[in-house]
This record gives sequence, C-alpha cells and structure tokens, in this order.
Amino acid sequence: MNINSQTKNQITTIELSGAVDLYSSPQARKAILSAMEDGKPRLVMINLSAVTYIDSSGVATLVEGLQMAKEKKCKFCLVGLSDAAREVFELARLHKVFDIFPSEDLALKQYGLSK
Amino acid sequence: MNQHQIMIRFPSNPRFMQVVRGVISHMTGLAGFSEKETRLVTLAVDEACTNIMRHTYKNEPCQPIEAWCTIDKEYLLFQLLDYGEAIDPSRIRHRELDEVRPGGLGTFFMKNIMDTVEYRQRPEGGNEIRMIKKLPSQKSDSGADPPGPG
Repeated sequence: MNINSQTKNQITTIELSGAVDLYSSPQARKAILSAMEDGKPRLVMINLSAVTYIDSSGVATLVEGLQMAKEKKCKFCLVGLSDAAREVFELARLHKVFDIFPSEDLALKQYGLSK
Repeated sequence: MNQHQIMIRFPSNPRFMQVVRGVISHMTGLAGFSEKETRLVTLAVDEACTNIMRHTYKNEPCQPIEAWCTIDKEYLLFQLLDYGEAIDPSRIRHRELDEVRPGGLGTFFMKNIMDTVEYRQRPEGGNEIRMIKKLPSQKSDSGADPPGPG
C-alpha cells in the first residue's frame, strides 16, 4: 500500500493505493489519525480510487477516522471508491454511514469548500 | 470436472496474505466465479486467515496455517487448519451491522459471502475453519458432503 497525503487550505486529502489489509492498515490509521490530530483540518478526504483490496481491518481504520472526525468536528468523506472498495462498503452496509463522492471536486462542491 | 485440490502452508504473519490471496483468487477464478464473486470469496477466506492470526495465534507471526482449497464439480471448499489453542465455536460471532464501530466485521463477511462456514476443534489439536461456496452452475443443493484434507 502507498499513502499520499496533502493538505492545502485546511483540507487534507489522503490517497490510499494498493491493498489496505491487516498488514498495511496500521500505516493508514497513523496517517489518518495524525492528520486530524496535528493539522486541525476542516475536511479530510480519503481517496480510495486506487485501492485494489480492502479488508475488515481497513474498513475499521476508516470507521475510526470517521469517529475521530466527529469528535474533532471535522468533515470526513470517502471519494472515488474503486470497485473493490465499493463492494466491501456495500457488503458492510457502511456506504450509508460515510459521505461518499465520486470525486474530490464533487466533495468540495458539496461541502462548499475550495482548496 | 474432476476434483482438484491444492494446499499452501504459510506463517501467521499478515505480510504473507497478499501471496495467499493470490492463490485463493486464482483458484476461485478457475472454479468459474465472476470477478466480483472472486474478490468477495477472496475477502472471506482472507478474513478467516487473519482471524486465526489475531485470535488463535494472538499475533505471533511464525505459527503455521494450512489452507486447503478443493474445486469439486459442485462446490468450492476452503479448509483452514491451525495448531493453536482450541477455540470454542459458540463464542465466535459478528457484530450487529447497526453498530458503527471499528472491528467485528470479518466474521460477518465470511458468513455473508460463503454458503457455509463451520468451525471445529480437531481431535489431534488445533482448529479447522471450513468454508463452502457452491459453484455458479449449481443452483440447487446437491446434499454432497465435501471431503476432508488429504
């Protein structure tokens, strides 16, 4: 798994690519939680368009991120879900729990924010 | 189709799961499942393996796991064998889906993706997780009884 994180104008985008599984999800967890603890962003977008595989530990990481975002009063969304990611979120019925957008631009538009 | 069976033995270290998933995925594809079904079956078996790593072996990374995969004319069967402490099958349960919290999803995935998931303590020690998915061509229950490993 690779992680690419960028913050601009208090909007953090974290792009995960490859397999988010029991081996790699601790890295994703660290990136997501530290972005919210250190950067105090208004919005955290997790881009999953290049995720080839995600298991329950990866999903749990994102649920934890969502919960921390609520505590920090920060917006948190998933964007560009790959087929592999979408299937897992639908199976877990979590696609109704997260804000999910087809692209980063559409997420920004929905929240009335810009980078 | 005649019955085909392979077995892989791997350590209880999550870094090897990418290799294991490759084998599961290829066998599931060979059994005739669609790409989406193949991804889901791979997820179910992966979750079973990582449950063994986390719960049976308590994250010790060098314990053995055997995964037997059997393609029969009617079903795809995975049997996962460990050599850890006996697990009480009645204590294995998934979380309710209306609870939004990290964790507890792996067992839910296994039971919702596969047609049958069974746990048993092996008389010689360790545990077996047995997971069956009927082949896409099998629309009615044949009542066939899949064999054990070996």
